Amino acid sequence: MSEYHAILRTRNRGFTLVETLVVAVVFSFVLAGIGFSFMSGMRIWSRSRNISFPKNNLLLVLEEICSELRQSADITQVGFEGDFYKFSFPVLKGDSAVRMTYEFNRDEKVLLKKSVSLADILDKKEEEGLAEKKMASLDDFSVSYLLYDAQEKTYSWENSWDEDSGVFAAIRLKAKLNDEEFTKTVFLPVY
Amino acid sequence: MRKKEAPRSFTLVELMVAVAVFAVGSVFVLRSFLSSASALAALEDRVSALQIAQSQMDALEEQALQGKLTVSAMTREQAAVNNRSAVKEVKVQDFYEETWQKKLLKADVSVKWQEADREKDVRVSCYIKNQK
Repeated sequence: MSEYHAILRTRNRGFTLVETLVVAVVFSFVLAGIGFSFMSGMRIWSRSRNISFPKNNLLLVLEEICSELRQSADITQVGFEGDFYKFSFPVLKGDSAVRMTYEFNRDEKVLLKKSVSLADILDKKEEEGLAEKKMASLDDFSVSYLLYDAQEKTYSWENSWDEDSGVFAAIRLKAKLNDEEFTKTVFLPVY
Repeated sequence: MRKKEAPRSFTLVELMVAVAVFAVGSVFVLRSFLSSASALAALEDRVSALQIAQSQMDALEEQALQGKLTVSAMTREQAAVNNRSAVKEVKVQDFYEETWQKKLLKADVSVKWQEADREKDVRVSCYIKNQK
């Protein structure tokens, strides 16, 4: 009887207080190590999320605009429209031509892109085009045009372009985001 | 004498082995997490530095368009790569292109910055013709 009780006592024992404390201490060291390295990883992640995500997005948008401008054929003869906060040009997309319009809304600080196919423009259905928010909470965005003066043989940056001002050699996009300025210049062949 | 095996609890040794296995496993997971996070940060520094170098190259190209680009020794300028200080170096050299026999200029732009005690850099080079 007493032997049975002795077996039961040794087999069915729980932890002692000391054992539980040792395990808790070891486990808390492990958790502290994991938590510390996790936090430092999260700090790098959130830094890049807050600072670099909008910035990378902006760089990508600028790159996209530049590649569209380069694809636009003989740009000054096919209805380019250029203002300080808005410009518009046609691009070939697959089989159809599309008129791209980029516009910076200064009140809402949003860069908008609108694309309307030329078929819709001919049918006077310009409102059918798709408007797309390319970039939000942008501090500033502006466009300048490098105009060539054929008589003086000089170049100068202007804030707008129309057909009377002749050809331009480059378009410069300027954007401002979180007090950082980005410029991108597209050089176009002068015809 | 014993009728049935009594339900046993874990021993201390078993529990410590379990914790050790868990710790080793989580170290591998965390190491991959940390290395990918720092790789992301390094990549973003490169993107930022490349943007600085390319807009400098745009400025040189504009000078060449106006015929104002001249040969110059290396000039250094302060810049910022993701709020860290960086150095921008610009150099313009003469270059003679033999196949087409043209006098060109070779422009080199490099942006250098420090990252975890290691020097990182991005270089952009371009052959430009001075227009008249």
